[in-house]
Amino acid sequence: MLNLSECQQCEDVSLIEPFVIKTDYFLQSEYNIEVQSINVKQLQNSVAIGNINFLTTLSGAVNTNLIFSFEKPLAKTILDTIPFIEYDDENFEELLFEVVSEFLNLIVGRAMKDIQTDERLRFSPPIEILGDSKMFCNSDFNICKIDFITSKGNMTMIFSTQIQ
Amino acid sequence: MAKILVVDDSKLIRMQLQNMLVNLGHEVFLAEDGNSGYEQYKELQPDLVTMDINMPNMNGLLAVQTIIKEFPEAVIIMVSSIEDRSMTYECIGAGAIDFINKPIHIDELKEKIDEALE
Repeated sequence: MLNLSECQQCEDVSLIEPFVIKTDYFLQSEYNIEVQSINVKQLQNSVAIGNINFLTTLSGAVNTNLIFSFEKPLAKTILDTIPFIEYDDENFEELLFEVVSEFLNLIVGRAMKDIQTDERLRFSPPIEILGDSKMFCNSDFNICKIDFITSKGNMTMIFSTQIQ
Repeated sequence: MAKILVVDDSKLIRMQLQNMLVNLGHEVFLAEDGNSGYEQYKELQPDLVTMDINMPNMNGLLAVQTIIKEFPEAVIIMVSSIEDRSMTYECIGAGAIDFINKPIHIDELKEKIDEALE
């Protein structure tokens, strides 16, 4: 398992760690997807994002933007593991986006349960970020990027917190 | 066979619940937010409703309150994620009878539906 303390620049390990643990658990246990490695990077001001991207904002005790970025093959693998779902050419793309949105809801909800704060944490409904491989840039933000390399394609979590 | 109304803003969850419930032998109707769920309830008078919590237009709590106020005998099961737990209990306080966890598993769904319809 990843040791987040190795990433000296990722300031708030106690915030990020529950998200990493829940994502790793859900990918492997709920969806039977092997997570081959988890890589953490601190970025200065920009990051490339993938095929299917959703943004949520955590507020309350923390104020952080969180992006979930999925490669399509991984989203399709998760979609295929959900029982009683049928798709065709017409609804396939829409369901891929729905499955990533639901995945974000599951992970964020469970991770927030494990974050100890005096003030209640909230998260906004996931918003789809349109486009492909866009750059997310803002020099006023600390950006911590966590890549999950899996046997079925990759996903990335990006924490973006305003520099005080 | 029961007449069941599924209220959820996620197309994925609506499809999953519809297919599971049809597989369990029920007749299923769909609504994509609390407001249309309430309107469909008035028209269909279903035996049971599965209700999401976070939805646009009218959320699950308000939809439960609105339906129960007019139809106190309504049988409503919440479909909730773990982060919604405090609001789930508010919904139960407002008249919903139980909740089902996401991700949805057909065994739990069948058990809760059977209990609710007894």
